[in-house]
Amino acid sequence: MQPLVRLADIERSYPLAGSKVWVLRHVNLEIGAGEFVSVMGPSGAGKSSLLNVLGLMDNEWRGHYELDGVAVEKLDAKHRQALQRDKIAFIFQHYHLIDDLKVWENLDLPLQYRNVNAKERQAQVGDLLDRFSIVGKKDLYPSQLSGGQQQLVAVARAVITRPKLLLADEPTGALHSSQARMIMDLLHELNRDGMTIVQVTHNEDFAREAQRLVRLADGWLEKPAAPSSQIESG
Amino acid sequence: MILDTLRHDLRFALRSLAGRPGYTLVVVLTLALGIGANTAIFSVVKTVLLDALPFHEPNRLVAIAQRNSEADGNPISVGYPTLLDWQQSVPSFESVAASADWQPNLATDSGAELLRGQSVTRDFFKVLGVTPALGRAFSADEDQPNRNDVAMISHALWQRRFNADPGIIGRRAQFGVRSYTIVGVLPADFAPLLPAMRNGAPDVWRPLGYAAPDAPACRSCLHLQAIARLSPGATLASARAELDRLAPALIHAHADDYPAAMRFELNPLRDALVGTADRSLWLVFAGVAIVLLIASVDIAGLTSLRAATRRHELSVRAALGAGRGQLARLMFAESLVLGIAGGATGIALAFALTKLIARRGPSSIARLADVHVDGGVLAFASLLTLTVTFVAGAWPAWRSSRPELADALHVAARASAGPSAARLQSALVVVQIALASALTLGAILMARSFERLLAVEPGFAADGVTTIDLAIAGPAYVDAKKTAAFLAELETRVRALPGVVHAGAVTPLPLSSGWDTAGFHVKDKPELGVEAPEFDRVYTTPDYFATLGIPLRAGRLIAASDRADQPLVALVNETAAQREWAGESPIGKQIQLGDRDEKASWITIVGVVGDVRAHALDLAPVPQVYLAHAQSADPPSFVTLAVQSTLAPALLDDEVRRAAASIDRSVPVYGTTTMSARVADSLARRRFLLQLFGLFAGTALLLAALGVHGTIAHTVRRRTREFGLRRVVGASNAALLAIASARTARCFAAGLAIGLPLAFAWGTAMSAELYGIGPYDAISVALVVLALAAVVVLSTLAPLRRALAVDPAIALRNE
Repeated sequence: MQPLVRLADIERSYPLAGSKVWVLRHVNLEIGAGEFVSVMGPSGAGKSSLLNVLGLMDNEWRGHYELDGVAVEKLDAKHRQALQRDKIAFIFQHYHLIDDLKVWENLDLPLQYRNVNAKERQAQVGDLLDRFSIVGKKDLYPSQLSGGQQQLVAVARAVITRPKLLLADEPTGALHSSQARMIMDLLHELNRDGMTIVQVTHNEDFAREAQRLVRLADGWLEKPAAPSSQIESG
Repeated sequence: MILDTLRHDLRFALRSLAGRPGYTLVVVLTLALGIGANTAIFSVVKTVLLDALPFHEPNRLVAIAQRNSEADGNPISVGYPTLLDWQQSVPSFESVAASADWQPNLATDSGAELLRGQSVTRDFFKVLGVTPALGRAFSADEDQPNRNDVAMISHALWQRRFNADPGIIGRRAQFGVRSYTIVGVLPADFAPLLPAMRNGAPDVWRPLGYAAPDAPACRSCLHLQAIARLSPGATLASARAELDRLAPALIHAHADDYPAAMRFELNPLRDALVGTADRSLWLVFAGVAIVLLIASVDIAGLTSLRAATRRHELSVRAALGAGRGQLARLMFAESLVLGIAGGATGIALAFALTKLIARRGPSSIARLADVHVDGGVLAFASLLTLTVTFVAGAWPAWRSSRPELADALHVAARASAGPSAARLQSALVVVQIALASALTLGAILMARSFERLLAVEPGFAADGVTTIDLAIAGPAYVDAKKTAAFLAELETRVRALPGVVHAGAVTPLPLSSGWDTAGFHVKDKPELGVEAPEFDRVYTTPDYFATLGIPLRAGRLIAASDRADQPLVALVNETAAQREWAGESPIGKQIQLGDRDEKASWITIVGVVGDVRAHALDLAPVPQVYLAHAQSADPPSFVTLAVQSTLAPALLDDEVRRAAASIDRSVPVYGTTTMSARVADSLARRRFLLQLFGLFAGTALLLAALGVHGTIAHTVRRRTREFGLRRVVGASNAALLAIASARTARCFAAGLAIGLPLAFAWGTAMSAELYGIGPYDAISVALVVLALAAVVVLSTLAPLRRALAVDPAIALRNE
């Protein structure tokens, strides 16, 4: 299978008191198209840093990153942003919906930023509201929704542009169990439809639902513990 | 697509602002204050200083005057023969004209009406480039002695008194003592904006009809106000050069008529019209521009805080694919909405302020009553709004368009703005305090200067004195005895009214716009080639001094027995006595006024009276000679009757009108007011400036308070968790207060350090408007520091209370 993501020798550090603190060390990782990968590790292990690199939200790393055949490190900021817009979407633990926009407007926003015309946007937003069964909520503001409903809208917003890579940063972290289950089911459904998903999570059970689980510690990818396990070696 | 996006951005901005009414209101009102005040003052500057005079090719119009010595403050007049010399010998002048005041009565069925009029030379309307709406202008033939019984009237008079009669041309009308044939009606839009007409537009004009060199058409009879139109291609410089060459030639040819230092002064007509108002208005404009600067700094601070609090939202948008331009546009959309709301409110405010200024502004500033908001002013307001909106909004917008995605999307980023926004906010507060201190010092200096003016002893008692103007002119008063008889009879009748204590007449009244000076000659005192000093000449009736409470210092006052058939008597004031007879008594000395004539009668000084501030409260007393009105062979026609009484001015006005009409109903009574009002009027320009600068300083302090409040509120909000933690480890109220207010205290100190030098510079620029006080006045500076400290303390009270009220449990849970 042709990998969608190829990270080779990725390193990331921050300056601190005249020295450097390393958050990612020689990370090598391949993620195939249509794969569902979970990333785990203790606090400060580098999970969010890895997600930032994958999502092109951080450009200060060293190494080689190939996304859908494009060498990211060779791109300037403008082209990196274009690549991010074309290929990647995000889901966050705290949903990050825009408070002053209604549900349908939050869904409409990514399409606007991709210069989709109004008629087409209206059709796509309508389809997605229907698919996620949130038509009745379309004119509500985020503050009028429950946490699960907000995350549902956030997922809908993430997938409306049909990204190749969906990055989920603890997508169930702020939800109670039934809402979390609903979101995990939704992610599985999207994955079945062919979407590549990388989720960072602290929930061992949800992590194991992915096809592959990678663990980070002190910025290093851990080697697999046993042949039967799903742990990726660095 | 672009329109669609723009619509979306604007809709979002509207919704977003509607959800933050406090922020929106503060920004809109701040902008409205800045734009409104600047637009209103710009409308004044534009009308008074920038708009072309409403004449044909106004840039070619100049005012010319004769300056006899450098001590002449602001010369405005010239003699008739000199005018003829200019006409003949200055090629840079296409045409030259002159005018003199003329105030004829127009008798009507309902009583006499005093008209404002002018006697003008034949080319007067040609110089101004005005063509009559009806009839014609004066011909050269009509500008001759005894042939000038023709008149032109204003459009307003034609409508008011002649029912807009289209057959008016050729009709005869009685103006004052003579009958005139009306030959022309001026156009309705003719605005006779000349320095002599500041206090009202004339209604009637007649030819001057002079023939040189007999008085009043002599070279030294300086009473004509001259204007000229430059020849095509001529410049001010070429005209000045020609006048500079002409002056020595005239001095040489007419040594008796011109002092050796005489020269001619030529200025654009606009400058002559505006006078010193030019300096004051630019100062006001600079003041209001500082207000706008403070408002802009406030808006920049607020916008930057708003941008900082939107960091999270902008990061989410960036994560969803928004480009830098799209994010900047979003911020601009919000600025645009605020700009439109603030600009529109500001323009509405400007309309109101402009009306107020036009109605209440001092009449001494030419064209102030014409101030209005027109297309040019609206364009200025729009440009100002756009500039402030985008300059104040641009930097935060551009900065916000590059969110640090990875950091901003963490939950903590939702809480508040970061330390860089706080630093910016502090810098802006420093600028605000600095600018506000300059404006505050200006206002305090102005107020203290005004206070000193009010404390000036005018030399007369204004309380309870009503003044009423009379024009005792016309065919019946060619004989001076008739004038004296009318006045004596009127005073007797007025004094008989219940409540009247004293009634006396004077020309001119102190602090009125009129004055009359004459050469002062002392009998037996040689004048060896030295020009006689010019003293103020004042005509009074006996009771005038008691009416105004002017004290007698020596000798006696003018008495009722000082009639025309008695020896001529005069009083001098203390300044005149000191100047001419320092160390000795002037009583019994004999003088002449005007031209010295050893064969003519001498006037005996019988008393010395106290000084009065005759021309303005801020001008030192000048030497004055008081003559008995009843003894004058050619008494002034325009007399002010001063009445000390317990009657209300309106009631007294009725009574005096009735009394005057019962003696002679052709004598108009007008201009009734109180002496206190005249004193107040004499301070109108300074009061106007004080009000404006007070308003600017108040606004500046309010805006600075907003800025300080915003900064400390932001500090408290940003450090809520820290305050909670400090509380947990036992921090006292004093310790928390010190932490919360430390930044503001530093801003205050830095603002003053920068602001005080600025304030001194501003005070120096204003020094020409100050009386009895300088820009470095220690009390004023102390008041500035106190005012700013009070503003800072008051505006920090609420946020500091919030800081002390932080509940550690809640503060830490927020995190």
